[in-house]
Amino acid sequence: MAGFVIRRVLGGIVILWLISVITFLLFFLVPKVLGSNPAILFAGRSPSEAAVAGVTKKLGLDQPIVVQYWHFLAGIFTGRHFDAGPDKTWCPPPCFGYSFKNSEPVWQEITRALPVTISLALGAAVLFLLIGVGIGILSALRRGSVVDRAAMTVALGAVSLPVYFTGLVLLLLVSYQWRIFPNIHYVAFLDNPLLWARNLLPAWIVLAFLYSAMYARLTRASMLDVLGEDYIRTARAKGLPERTVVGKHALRSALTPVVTIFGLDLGSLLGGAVLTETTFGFRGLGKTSIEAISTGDLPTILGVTIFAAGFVVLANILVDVFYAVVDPRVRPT
Amino acid sequence: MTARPEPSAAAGTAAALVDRHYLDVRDLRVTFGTDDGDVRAVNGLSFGLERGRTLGIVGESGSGKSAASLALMGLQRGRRTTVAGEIWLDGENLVTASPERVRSLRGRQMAMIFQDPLSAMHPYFKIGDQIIEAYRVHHDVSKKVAKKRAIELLDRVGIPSAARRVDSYPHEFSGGMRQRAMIAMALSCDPSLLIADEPTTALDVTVQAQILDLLNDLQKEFNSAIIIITHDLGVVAEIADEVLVMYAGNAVEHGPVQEIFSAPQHPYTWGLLSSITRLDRTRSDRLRAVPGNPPSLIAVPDGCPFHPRCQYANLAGPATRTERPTLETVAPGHRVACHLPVEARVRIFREEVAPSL
Amino acid sequence: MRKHSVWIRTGVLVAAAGLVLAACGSGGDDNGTTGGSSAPAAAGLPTTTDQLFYASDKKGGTLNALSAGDCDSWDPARTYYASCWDQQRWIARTLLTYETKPNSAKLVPDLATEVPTSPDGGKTWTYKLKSGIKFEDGTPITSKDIKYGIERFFAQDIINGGPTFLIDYLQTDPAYEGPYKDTTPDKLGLTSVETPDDSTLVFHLTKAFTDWNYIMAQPGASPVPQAKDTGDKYTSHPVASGPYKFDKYVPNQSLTLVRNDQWDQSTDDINKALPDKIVITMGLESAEIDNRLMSGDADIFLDQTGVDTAARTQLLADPTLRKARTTVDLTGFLRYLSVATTVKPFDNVHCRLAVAYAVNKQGQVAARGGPTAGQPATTMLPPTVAYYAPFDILPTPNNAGDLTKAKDELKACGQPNGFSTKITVRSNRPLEVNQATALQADLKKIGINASVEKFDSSQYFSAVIGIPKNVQEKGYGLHITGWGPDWPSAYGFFSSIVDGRKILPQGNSNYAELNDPTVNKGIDDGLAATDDGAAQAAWTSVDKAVVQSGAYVPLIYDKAMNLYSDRITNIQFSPGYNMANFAALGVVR
Repeated sequence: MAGFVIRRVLGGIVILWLISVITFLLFFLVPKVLGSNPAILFAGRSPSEAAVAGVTKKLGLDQPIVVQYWHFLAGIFTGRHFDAGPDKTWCPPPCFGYSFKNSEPVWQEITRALPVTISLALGAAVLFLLIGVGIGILSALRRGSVVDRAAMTVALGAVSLPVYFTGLVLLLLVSYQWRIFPNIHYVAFLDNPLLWARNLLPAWIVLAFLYSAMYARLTRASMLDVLGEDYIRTARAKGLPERTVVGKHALRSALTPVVTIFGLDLGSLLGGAVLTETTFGFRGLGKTSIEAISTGDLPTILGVTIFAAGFVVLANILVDVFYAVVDPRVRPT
Repeated sequence: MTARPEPSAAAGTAAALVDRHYLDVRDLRVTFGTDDGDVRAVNGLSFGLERGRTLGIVGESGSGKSAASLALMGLQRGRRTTVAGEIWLDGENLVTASPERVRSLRGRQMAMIFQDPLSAMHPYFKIGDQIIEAYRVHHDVSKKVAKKRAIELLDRVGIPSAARRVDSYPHEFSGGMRQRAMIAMALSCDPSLLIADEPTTALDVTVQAQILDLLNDLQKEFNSAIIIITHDLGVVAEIADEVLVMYAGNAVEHGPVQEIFSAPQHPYTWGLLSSITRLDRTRSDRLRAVPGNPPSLIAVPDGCPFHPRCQYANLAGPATRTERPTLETVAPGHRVACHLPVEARVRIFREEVAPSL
Repeated sequence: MRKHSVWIRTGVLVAAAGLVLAACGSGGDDNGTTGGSSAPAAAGLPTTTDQLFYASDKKGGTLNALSAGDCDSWDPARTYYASCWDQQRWIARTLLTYETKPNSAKLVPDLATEVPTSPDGGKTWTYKLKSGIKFEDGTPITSKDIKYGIERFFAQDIINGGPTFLIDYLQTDPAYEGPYKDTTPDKLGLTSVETPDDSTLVFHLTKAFTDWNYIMAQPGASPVPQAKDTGDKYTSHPVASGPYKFDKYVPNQSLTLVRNDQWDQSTDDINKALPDKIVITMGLESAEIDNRLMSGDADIFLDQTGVDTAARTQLLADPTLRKARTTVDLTGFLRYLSVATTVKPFDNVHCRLAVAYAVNKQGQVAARGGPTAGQPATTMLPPTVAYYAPFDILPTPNNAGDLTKAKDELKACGQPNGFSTKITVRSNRPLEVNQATALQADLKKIGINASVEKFDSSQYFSAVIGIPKNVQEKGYGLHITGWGPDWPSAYGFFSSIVDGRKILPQGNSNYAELNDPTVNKGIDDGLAATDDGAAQAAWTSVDKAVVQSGAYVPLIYDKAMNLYSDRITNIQFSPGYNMANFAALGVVR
């Protein structure tokens, strides 16, 4: 098992490394091929030649791309120095580059965005897991009932509505029409847990609305599949009480695919829920990367991309390990 | 119990109260409601069975044999399924008993073995744990005690090095071993009624024989009543004491195994007998199954349900198309539901069917 | 220079009859249909606010401001956005600044004691500092702090992004490379700026520049204490000399300004510093911004680019709300078409003029959302800029294009059947993409087949049309673009975008690479002019020559319909920033 985990982690690191190479090349090589100089992007509006030359030298853009990449990669582990004017700016490890738009290490930007994204993702995840999986199980157990039909109709509607629509409608209602949640902005949990929750709640609801619907449908389908399995009939034939049959035998199998999808969803949510963050004006990883793209802040794009990819890769590894733990058939021996 | 009482017709009279079999099924009806109409999977089935005896229920798929066995266990599924009639087990009517009472009997007094032992065992749980669970749900013992019992049972059903294999997962067992494990699980609480639904169908021939032997041995040891559900008369011949032939949700012939094989009286039974694989026959003869398809259980034909497929229907008179035949006793313990005159049935079997078997 | 300002007030304001807060309802809506006259500045034209709305001297409260994104920088030497310059005034005082009166471009002293005139025609400028001025930490502000702030501009590898006028006029030989590479002990080695004592600054310009005082009203002319200079990180906490200072700053998210207790009202005739606190929330979607303004959760949208389509529709349907809460302002921004003189067949003036005649300017206005978004332009100088003079030398009926004249020009160009070319546009500016599409249809009518090529805005100016070699190689004939002046003078408007001697190999702003002797001479004449008449003649000749060259086709005088909260006070337009004067705002009526 330990060997399996190590193998998967090593595989994940290789994938991350490849992603870093590809994004690095995309963002630093492509402008070169197109004949433009990334330094122009960092040198401000209508920069002078001296400024561009200075920035080029400062960023090491005059060095071979391999050397630039090596500095970037090494910086993640050892940190880097950047010329800041009166002194050198130390970009401590993990140094994912230095944003010349924000004049700070990209890591700083990431650590600022991360709590927002984590708050958003985890809060929504708790909600949509409870609601979605709960409704899914209930629907499956009462298949064909009024409850089931109503839940599935609502769920079908919910998965069809885009987040920016439900988000705007909810905001319009709770924030402007009814004034229940006025002036929504991100407040750090440690600053004011109550305000933190209050301000995030509408966003959680919007995300949970969409994801609950997906998870209700998924859970229901999966549960119905499992309830039709022979081994559930066997469990009943043994005389097990229904709650053991459902709670132990059926749930365990039915939730395996749900947890798999959940792992991947959470991974990408932690990489940034772009639409929700933008709709609610929460500056998480998603909004950060979108803004970085629109301002041409290459180091930030690079850093956030690798970081977000890290979440997805990590989620994949965890899902694989989870699978191995739960299902002896895929367990490595 | 060593004596084997002859099976008798379910009289359906007050006398039956005192003359009830260990398992006594009376006018059992299982109906599934569907959007197309009611599916009458079991339609007035009656039979009795004593401990220590084995009943083989045979019939094509869709004849209602599985539905009947699941109803016996109280495992019918779906909110639109209804079970009517009486199922008496050891003097208790399971149809009217509370679901909780039936559950407490399941696995303890009556147990079931399923066709595909791979899909019938939970892939995530160790075999031992699944047996332990079955035992502990009815016995208030520690895990340790239950595990000891599981190892004993696995050993008894012929699993080598059971103490080690108890911690294996189903996918680590071969097909035959899994079926042995299933049997061990079913036997964990010494059930007095064991229902085996196609227990050997998924296994290869040599393993089939081993499993049937095992069931035979176990029956002697535990003195259970066994119902074997199969479409394979060969299996029945090997293990059953009596045979119930089902067609379209009802019994068409019921009798001691020797009688059913030597003097069957229902044309459907003849058809089934003709399909038994016998290695000394040529291929074309062997595969002469019953022509036509089983009827839809939503719209069962009037009269004898078998008449559309019966090549002797013309000899049976007009009643065969309008009146449902009832089970009539033709010999001690041998009942047949057929409109053909008894003499005609005996003659046709003797002159036309038997020579080709 | 003060004369110019006076002219602006009288000239523009006389022409500008329309009024915004109260009268934009009918005026704003009707303008589009009454347009088409050859004199867009004629009476009845809705224009920039010339009134003060909700005047109040009441202090207190929190000004809740919104912005679409963080400033390019809070470092006074690295910011180049008008809105950010306007915001800088909360924290940084400059030598000079704009008078706090509606639509006044008059310069008044701020840190300096008076607005100087140059004794030698614009080469030498001397400023005296007031006494009692201090940084937020209590340190007195001296002339050396202002000189140091200016020196920082020269460290272009670190301190870049701001305007380069200071370098253009103060660079020495050998070149000064900024204080970080300065080897003099006090790091004040820039010899073109002298500080004979702590309250005197003398600038020796490399060439005469009569607009210099405008530069001294930009954030670059604010003091930076050398001891607190953190180089490229100075943006995270610029040291305040103005009435407010940084309290809490989370880049790209929010900035809270609180009162600077070292700021002394007695030294400051300009800032009233009414709110107790200013909270700027950044990075909201436009719909969310409008919602917050509408609900009163926020007081002002600092970008001042106007409301979104949805809010505009809502406001146009509600005259009461519109009158009470909105202004429709000229933004001082000209939207125009650049026609590359180096891309065939636009090297021929007639092919350029064919485009100038073919384009339907009413269609361009419609593409941007109609009369509240702008009005057809016939001059390069927008009506908010000094020496604006209305003319229409390439007239078309109702500004809707003239296909006959356009086809005549095509014949004169030797391309009677038209040709193919490319229109470049910023992909993430949907209204500009609309403009490009409308233009494409107009050109089709005279046989010019133009394909629309879209680029991300982060690349568009710097890497696409700002590199002449790229424009020539790729054959980008037509560029949808726009320009707002860095200061409200004709020179401020024209200097970067039409001067043939300022074509740069990269970071070029003269996108069409126009190099016209009349234009170049006019710019020199305008700068050298010592009286208003000569200046007016020179700048009008520049404007006309540019339009006549066909290299630039003025399309739209941009307008914005801005929405405010119901408690904000002292809304008034400042031509210095082409938007509301933020320093005057308060929140208690």
